[in-house]
Amino acid sequence: MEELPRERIDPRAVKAWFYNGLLWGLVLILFPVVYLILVDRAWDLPAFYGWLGVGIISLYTLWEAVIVPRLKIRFWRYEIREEEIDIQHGIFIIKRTLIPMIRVQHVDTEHGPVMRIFNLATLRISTAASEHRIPALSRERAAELRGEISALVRVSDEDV
Amino acid sequence: MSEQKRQHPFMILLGALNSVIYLLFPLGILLVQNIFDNGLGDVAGSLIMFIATITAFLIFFLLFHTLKWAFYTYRYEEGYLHIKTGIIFKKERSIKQERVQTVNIRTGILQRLLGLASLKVETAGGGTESELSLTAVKMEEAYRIKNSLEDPDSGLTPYYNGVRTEEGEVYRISFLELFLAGATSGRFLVLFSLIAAAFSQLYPYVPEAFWEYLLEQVTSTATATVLLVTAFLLLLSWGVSTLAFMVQYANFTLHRQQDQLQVSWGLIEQKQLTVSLHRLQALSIQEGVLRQPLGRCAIIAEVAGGSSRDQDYITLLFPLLSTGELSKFLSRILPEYRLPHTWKSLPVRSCRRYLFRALALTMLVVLPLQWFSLPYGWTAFLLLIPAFFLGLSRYHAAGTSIDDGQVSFSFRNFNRYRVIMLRNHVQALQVSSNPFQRMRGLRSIRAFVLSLPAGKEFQVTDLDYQEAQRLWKWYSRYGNS
Repeated sequence: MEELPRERIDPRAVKAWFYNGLLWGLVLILFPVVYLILVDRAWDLPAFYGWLGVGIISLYTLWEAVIVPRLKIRFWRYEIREEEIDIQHGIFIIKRTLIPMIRVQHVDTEHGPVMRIFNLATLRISTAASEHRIPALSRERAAELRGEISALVRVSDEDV
Repeated sequence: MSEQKRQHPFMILLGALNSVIYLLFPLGILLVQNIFDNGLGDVAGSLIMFIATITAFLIFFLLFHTLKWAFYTYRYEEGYLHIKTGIIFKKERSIKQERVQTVNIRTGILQRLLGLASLKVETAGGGTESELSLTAVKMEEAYRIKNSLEDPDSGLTPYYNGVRTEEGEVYRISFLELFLAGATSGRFLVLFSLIAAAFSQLYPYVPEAFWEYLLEQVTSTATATVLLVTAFLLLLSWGVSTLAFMVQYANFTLHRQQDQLQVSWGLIEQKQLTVSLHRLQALSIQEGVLRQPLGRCAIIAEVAGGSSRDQDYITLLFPLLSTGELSKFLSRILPEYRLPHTWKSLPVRSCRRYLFRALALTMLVVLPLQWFSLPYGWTAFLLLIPAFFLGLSRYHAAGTSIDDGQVSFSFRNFNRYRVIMLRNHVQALQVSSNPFQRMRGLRSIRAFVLSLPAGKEFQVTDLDYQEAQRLWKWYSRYGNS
């Protein structure tokens, strides 16, 4: 456990997460903005809560879009060995997970709209009891890993 | 064996009654509404209407279920069970022996009077609904089907007529243990809150004289009444829940035969379940808060597969066992699992963190309370004392143990758990640490285990870094080769 998993995720992840966070922020900020508009026109409620909402959401977006991606990419590491998958991730709480190949039930890749722009994809590994993700791999790498893992799973199945 | 058979005609009555019961509630509401609408003068009229409606429905359902019964036929031969159903739309289904996971037999009180049983066949793949159920067949017929469907190679002694030859290892709960299990189940707290709620509604209707009589017996203060009533209700709910537990789990028997575990229990409704050993994913030894002082524990199994409806029942492997007997119990019933003897406990430096967590959580509740400046509000701070001891005992309870291909976690929330897992049943292992843990060289370890309905995680917090590393190496295929 001393040596860390060898591979890192794609550096474009920082950008993709930034835009993702920004988009979410824009969606969320609609709520206090609508509130502020309505307060002006229709209701007799203090505008203060609206501004408080705007403030909180801006801070949250700054945190999610700018700070978190940088922290995340610093710790994200993975390694796929013949018999197991080794993943490390986290920001404050660093989690190191070990998944034996024989326990893997299936692997799939997925990508949202932002991820698609950056040509990135998430690899999802499921065991019978848990689900693990390697986010933001280049799409080619994700597809490659998916094939690799499925092949390894088949091999270790035969061992049992 | 190959002729088409029908179930016992009692199925018609059972089915019809079941359907009518669902209607009783909405019709009952209609009745009450009717009585209010027509005024209290015409209660008799409303009642007659109510009974007439129910009877009409009952006749309708009886006819319907007669047809259903007539068209529901089954046939079994070596390795197969064929079922034909459907009045208009015909459905045929064949179940192959290899796909059958378990065959469970149950008898309700009505069925038992007629020597009948219901049979449920569950197949691999799970799902919420069992594949197939027969609601009323003769007892010996049920066992015959069970025998023909369960794996003949597993070498199970054939059942017949509910009596089986005693082979393999059997554990049966004694009356005293059953009583202790009921008395310490902790269910009375749930019941108490229910009774107390109901009582608060009834309070005004209790005759004044009764209270006066009660008060004369003790000192005549209002506090005394409250205390007395609370004590009485507690005792009542404790008694009732103990009795209910004893009836529910009466004759609890655990039977190990080859690679099957058979559990059966119940007085009014008898239940019997079979679990194949390969479905057993982990074993938990649960020492309840009330049970630990008595040196007793319950054995709980994490089971994979089967229909999720039965999960509450299937998980209890044995309701109460003396802790000293555990080792013997495991070697007789489940020699695949060993009771770990040497535990690696936590380093002294993690004690602070355990105490801090327990105290901080209590403060989160206590401090906001002070805001309201209640009279005697400061007494809430007294809660910190039990919190301190809870944290301390959590620290002492925590530990891990590696024994060849088996890992065990020990931890406490309120109840103390010792979870024993085999290496090839652990789906994934996770070591995590927050900055404070990293500063002190501590880690938390978590094991993912397959269990109904989704999966379970068992965790030991704040163990030594070296120990986490040892567990990691033990689990890793890479480190071993």
